[in-house]
Amino acid sequence: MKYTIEQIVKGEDELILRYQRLNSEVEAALRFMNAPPKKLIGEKNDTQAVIDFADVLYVETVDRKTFIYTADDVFRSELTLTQLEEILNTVNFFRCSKSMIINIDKLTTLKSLASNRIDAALFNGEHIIISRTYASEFRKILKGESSDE
Amino acid sequence: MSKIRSFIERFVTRKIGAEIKCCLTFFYIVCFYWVYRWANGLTEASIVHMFGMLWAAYILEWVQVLINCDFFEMDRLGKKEAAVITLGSLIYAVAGHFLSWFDGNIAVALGFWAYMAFAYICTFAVCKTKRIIDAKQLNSDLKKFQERKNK
Repeated sequence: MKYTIEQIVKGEDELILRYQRLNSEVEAALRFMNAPPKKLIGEKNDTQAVIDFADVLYVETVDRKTFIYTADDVFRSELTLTQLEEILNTVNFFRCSKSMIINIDKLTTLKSLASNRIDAALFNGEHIIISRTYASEFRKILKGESSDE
Repeated sequence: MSKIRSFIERFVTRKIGAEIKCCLTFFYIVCFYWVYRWANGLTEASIVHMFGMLWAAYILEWVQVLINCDFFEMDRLGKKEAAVITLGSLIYAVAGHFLSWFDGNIAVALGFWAYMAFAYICTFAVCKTKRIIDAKQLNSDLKKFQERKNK
């Protein structure tokens, strides 16, 4: 396959795929193009911000409001936790309680607690408790035994 | 329906946990009782005594589970935990004294109190060690997961 890359000065960024027959290379490019954008929209001080999935530490619902936490900021999201769970389902995110989704990539250490709970330390020093209900699924995901993987 | 199922699952998990604790505590008591009997030249155990031990273990372990003062699940040995161990073992010693497991011998009952406190501490140490080993495994799995995903 021939690759053409062109830098433009004006206009919207565009990716065009031209092909005659589907083959593995074309399918890989299509998968990349069809992949959902790895960004979330958050709001802070009436200003919207685009947040990269990789920057999210965790997402939490407090009083029916959803917040997205990054290392330096907290953003409000219009989406519910369930909607965000569906969006974040493709990457390293895990629903660790009824009100929280964590980014497994941002965890530094895990500590086994009594009653089969897990204390998960994030790289910014925060600690999140994974309850007994979610801990067994979390263990499976870490071991690569989950059906979602 | 899922709420009922979740409630039943939580109850069954708690019940199984409490039953295991009852069995282990009963085993601790019986071990001391057997040594006491054997030291006194007796090779038979009273079924009434054992019945009392079983119920004492059953009631006390359930109370500990219900009031969230379960020594099996302690994360550290602080003041509260020390109080639970002291009081828990004292109740067994008092029960043993009044149910005549040691023929009303106060010195043996006091020894039994110390023995039960020691048994609690040993169990705490075993559970703590198990959690340390588990944490090592968890961190190893986390590292492998992160390496796998970031390849």
